[in-house]
Amino acid sequence: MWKAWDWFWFHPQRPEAIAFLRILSGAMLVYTTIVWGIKLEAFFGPHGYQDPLLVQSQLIDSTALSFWWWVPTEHLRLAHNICLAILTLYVLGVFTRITSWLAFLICISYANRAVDANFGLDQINAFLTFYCAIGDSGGTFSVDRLWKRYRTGLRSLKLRGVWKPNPVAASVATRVATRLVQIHMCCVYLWAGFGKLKGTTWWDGRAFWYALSNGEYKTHDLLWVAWHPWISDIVTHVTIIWEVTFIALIWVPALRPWILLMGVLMHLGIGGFMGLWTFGLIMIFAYTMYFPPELYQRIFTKLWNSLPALGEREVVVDQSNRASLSTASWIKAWDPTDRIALLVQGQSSEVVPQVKAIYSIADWWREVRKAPEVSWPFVTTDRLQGERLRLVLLANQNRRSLELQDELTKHGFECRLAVDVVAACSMLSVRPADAVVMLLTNREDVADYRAFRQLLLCGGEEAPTSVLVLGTGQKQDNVWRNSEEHRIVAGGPVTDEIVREVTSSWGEAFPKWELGPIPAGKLKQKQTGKSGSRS
Amino acid sequence: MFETPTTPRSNCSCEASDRINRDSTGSLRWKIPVSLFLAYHVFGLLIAPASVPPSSDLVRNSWLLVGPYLQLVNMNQGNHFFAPDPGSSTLIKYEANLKDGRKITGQIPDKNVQFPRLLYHRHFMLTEQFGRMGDYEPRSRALMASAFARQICQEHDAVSVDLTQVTHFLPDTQWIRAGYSLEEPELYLEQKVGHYEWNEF
Repeated sequence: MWKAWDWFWFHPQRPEAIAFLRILSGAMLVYTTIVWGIKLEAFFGPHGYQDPLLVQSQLIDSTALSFWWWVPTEHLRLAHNICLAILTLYVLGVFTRITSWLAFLICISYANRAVDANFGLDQINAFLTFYCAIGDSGGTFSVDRLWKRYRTGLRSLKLRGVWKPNPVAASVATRVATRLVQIHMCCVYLWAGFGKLKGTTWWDGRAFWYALSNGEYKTHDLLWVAWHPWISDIVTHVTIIWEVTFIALIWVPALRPWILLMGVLMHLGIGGFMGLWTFGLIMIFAYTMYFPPELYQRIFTKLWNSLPALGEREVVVDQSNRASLSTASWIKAWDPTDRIALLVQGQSSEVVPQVKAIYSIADWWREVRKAPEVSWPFVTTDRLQGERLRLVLLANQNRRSLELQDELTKHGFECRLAVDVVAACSMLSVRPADAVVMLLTNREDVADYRAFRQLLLCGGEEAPTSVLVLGTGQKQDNVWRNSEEHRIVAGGPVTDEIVREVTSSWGEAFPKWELGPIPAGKLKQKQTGKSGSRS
Repeated sequence: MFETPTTPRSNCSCEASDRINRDSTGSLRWKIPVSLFLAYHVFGLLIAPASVPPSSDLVRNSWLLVGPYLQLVNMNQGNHFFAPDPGSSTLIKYEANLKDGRKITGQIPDKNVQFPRLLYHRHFMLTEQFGRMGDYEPRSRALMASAFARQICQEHDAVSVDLTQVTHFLPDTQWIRAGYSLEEPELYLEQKVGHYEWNEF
């Protein structure tokens, strides 16, 4: 029970969905506030529609807050403009940890001051902003993220000569916020449905007719429905059933898209035929939280890559020149999908651009649908195409790994030693490899190795095959999934056993190679031959 | 900004799950209080709409536990959209006497005057609230009528204004099929609210 609860609420989640929600609901909040500003004095002034005495008598004994009570009449416009500026910063994701809470304060302050002019839009605005403030809504799609990319990328470029900004982090707060939005929406629909069940017209099918024949709401003439009352009956019943069952059916993955599609159609109908566009849209915006963050990641990547490239595709950076480092970091900070290769002087390109041309929405949607959860981000392997089997040996730099490298080289492999996962990634970014041999000896490396191996597993045909050699203290449990192409050897084998395992693995997989001592001619050919291909 | 991860550390779900495992073991100290708060919050979300009349004593007493918190975060919502039934609309008609002796008439809300649509809805919600007050909240109703009158006088620079509450009833399908429109006088009920002088404000 606790495990399920723990997973439901506290499983760290990436921030793409909530960041997207921040932009959408924040933009709605800006629009709402701009519209308040058209008649600011009428709604917020002491002599307007919302008489302070009237509102205070309605909110007596209430804990509802509003800063408007402390704003002098002559400064109403100034306060309003400051609020607009803060909300704009919030939408852009500037100092989001602060501006998100300020946006929430602004949202409820407007709502609690003009309490009689509120409707559903203000309620939804308030709770979405509250949950965006709880979650890491500025974690991506934000100026904050841009700055973080620049800052951490610049630091890595200075210290290590590679562009490696801190990645977008998953967080528990984002998970909590996501769940709260999802549950809150369920509550909204459940009680919207239950509330309707108290009436008679929602039972006898006339409710839809009454809603569309309300002269103060209607924007289009749908009075022809009077001659087809069965339409009203169907829409009324479906609305009730959909609202009451939303809380249960939305958690069924197979039904979720259909339930949300129904909701989108209903809210578009409310917007189109009753003029409540703002309310309809904010409800649809909240649906973004029912989709996995990876979807937004993929959509953004596809959209960004479909944009025409601006400027250079390769940037040369002089590691000893501060201005050059800073400029390169800014360029790379604005390159979220790594389309621009960074060539550090004296090094080969760190990132190889892999951009697919997308010419239409259909192409784009096809790409989004077929894109795997995790794709192989490095140079695609061209198995069996090389002259020799190209190995990356991922192991700590010690006597044993050096011996192993020598042994494998003697057996005809082209063997490069990577001392950690980062180094292995760098190698694979530049040159393709046919196989990776991983020696796990240090317990501290488990997470890195597991992540790297998972990447290999997800990489499919594009990724090299691998053998993971577990140390004496390492057990092959459920975490280490064995597969035909990614084998696991447990029991702490000695060097000879590893060599035998590796040669037998790829001796069978690639029988065209003669695994044996390396011929002198081939060694020379390797040293002067091609320096690796890029995809 | 968002970016495609370039290393397994930033890309792979394994790393996240590993972090969770580490998280799960040593984090009960904060997870239990947070869980209690989440349960309280969700309980509040369920209780707030349930306390809309008719409701039981149990629900009303439960509201006392969560009410102050929900009011603070502006989540004390009924969520009774168009419920229990879509009802008639309430409008305010006015006739203002200007300083130069002319008279102007208008109504709140007015689609032709209040633009964009959201501003129209804001005004519509005011008059709907006024209609809902009815005879049950005479003090609030009087204050609100007075506020309407004062605002109209300010906007038009008027010396006095007469307010009339107009209830626009919803027609049945038979009404339309019989050839009538939504604007027939029979669908409107007018009730005089009062006469207000600018000097009295």
